[in-house]
Amino acid sequence: MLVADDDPDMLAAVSDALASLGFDVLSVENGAGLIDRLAMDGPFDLIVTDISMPWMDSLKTLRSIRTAGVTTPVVVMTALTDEQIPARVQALGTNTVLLRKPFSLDELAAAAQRLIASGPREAERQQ
Amino acid sequence: MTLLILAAVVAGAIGRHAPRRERPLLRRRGDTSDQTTLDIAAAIGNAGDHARIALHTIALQAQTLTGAELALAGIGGAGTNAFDVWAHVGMPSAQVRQIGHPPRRVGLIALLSEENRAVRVRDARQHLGYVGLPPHHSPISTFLGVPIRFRGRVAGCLCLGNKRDGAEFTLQDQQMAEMLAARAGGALEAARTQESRTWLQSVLDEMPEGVVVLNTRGEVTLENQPLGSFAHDGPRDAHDRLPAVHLSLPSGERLSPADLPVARAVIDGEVTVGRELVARGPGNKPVPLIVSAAPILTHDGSPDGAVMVCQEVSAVRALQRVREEWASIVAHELRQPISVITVRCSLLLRGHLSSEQRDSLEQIARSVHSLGRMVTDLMDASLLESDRLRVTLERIDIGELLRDVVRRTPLAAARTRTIIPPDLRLFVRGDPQRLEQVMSNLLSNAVKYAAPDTEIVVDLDVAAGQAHIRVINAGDPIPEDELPFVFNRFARARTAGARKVKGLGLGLYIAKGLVTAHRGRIWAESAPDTGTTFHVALPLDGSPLSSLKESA
Repeated sequence: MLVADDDPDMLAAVSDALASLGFDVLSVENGAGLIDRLAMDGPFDLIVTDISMPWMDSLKTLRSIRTAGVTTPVVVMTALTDEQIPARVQALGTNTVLLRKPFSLDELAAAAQRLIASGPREAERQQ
Repeated sequence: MTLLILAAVVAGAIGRHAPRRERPLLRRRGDTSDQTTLDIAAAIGNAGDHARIALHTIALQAQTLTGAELALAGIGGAGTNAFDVWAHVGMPSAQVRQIGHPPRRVGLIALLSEENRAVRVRDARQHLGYVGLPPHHSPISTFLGVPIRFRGRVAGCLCLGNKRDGAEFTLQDQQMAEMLAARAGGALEAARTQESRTWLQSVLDEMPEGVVVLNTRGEVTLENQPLGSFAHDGPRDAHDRLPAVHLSLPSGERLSPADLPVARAVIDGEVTVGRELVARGPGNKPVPLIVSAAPILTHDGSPDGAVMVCQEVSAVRALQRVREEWASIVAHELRQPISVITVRCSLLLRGHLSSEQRDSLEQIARSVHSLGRMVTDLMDASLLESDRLRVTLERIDIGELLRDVVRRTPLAAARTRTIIPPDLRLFVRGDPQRLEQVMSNLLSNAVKYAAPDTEIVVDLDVAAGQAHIRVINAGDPIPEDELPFVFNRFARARTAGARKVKGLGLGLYIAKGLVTAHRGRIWAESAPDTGTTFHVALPLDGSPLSSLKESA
């Protein structure tokens, strides 16, 4: 799975957490990296990304990749309180989950497992 | 030369079209102050009931501009007698009725009247001039009082109590109060010569703020000229007795006429202080406003309509926006390290640890969890304050939500008895996360304040067509004089006895804001024998479902 966060400590913590749950994890520090990795190493089972990142915030990045037909499930993490965010995340489709920081390991694990269980990786492969 | 001056004086006198009023400068020396006292009485007599409305408007404005919880404007009456005319803002009408007599000119009021100067103190109760308050009066800590002057003599006073958030009244607040007191004084002067309704209209017209006065039937009885700058251009016929302002929430959602602060003041006696709303001015241009409203009470405390004051606040609002942005940046930056610590803690806790290491890590995890809660509470409080908190409503089985919250609230599950009639299913329209937040807040509060080894009771029923939830704990009761303040921000900090309880004191403030956002009501009762009960009433979505009826 692919993890993106511009805070290196958070990126490392989330990557380690997901690795401890038994996932293979690739990590990137911004939206550009996210798109690069998707293009070069995809498809992934899951994307876990922070919202506010340099270059392009992940909601825009995700909108672009959804428009491009990538339906990989996404966990969107955020520490922002903007009231518009839930609606914008919802607009990315049902296979997108919003996780408010700070979250526990259990919440992250539950979100990841639920999305992967219903994930459309197969569907994406056929596209 | 002399002739020239005389000519100028005559010309001046002829140029004055208005009937000549008695001008203080021309008064004879030796004119006794008794004459002034008589004039004050005459002015008050002339203004009649309208004087009370004017004082209500001024008290409401003073309360809003200084951030006071209580405001009193009173005029007339001599010595230590009661005021002839007065207006309270900030105390519910029932409380005013309980007090049962007009405010008297004693204590700090006597002090500021005798010395003809402002009195501004950090704690009224510590002041030498303090003589106590009548039974049922809300307690007063911070106090600011300024005289209302009539020809330089004290004719009354404008008093403010309990600045919000436990802060002290500032010099700016004092200047603001003095400006408003000067308005009241000027109005009195005019009252001697004008018919009372015309007088009130002209007093209100001279205020820079838009003012609407409604009667007990909710009909507009007065609107002042400044209101016109943000009144809608729509046609108004003779039957249209609604205020000429259309107000919306900052999000754009239009308030229905019944939800206008002034209508709420008439219907529920609700007081609104400094709410941020948007009016649509001529040409549909948005005009940001700070709106306050309060019921007008007759002297025996019964409702007599309501007044709403709207102040244009483009500059204030810009400043507030900067502050909110700042708060949200701070919250974001704080949450980032909190998230790292949270995730790292739980990762470490999954590993192999000595029991000592485990204990330390669990402590860190608990502390960082409460740090996260505090950041969220501060953000929620800031959203509430600026009226930007949104709820997304859906149909919720409130009984199920309650059982769920009881199950999941730490330390509550084991000692809480949940009483929900098994055949009763109640649905409300609400935001599940926010309602959970309210309930878990009330429940953790009950856990905090309950005496050891006592039971906490959560029950649900239907009352007056609403879902009525009670959270009851047996513990030290909340003193009667503090009950009205428990929903204020940082309320806990003021209660000396409760210092041992940790937290910011934002929980009940947020709970009240959230319940209000659901168009519900929250209140508290406390007594030595029954403990403390928090009530929440929420409008039902559809009629109560009884499973018996359902299966029938």
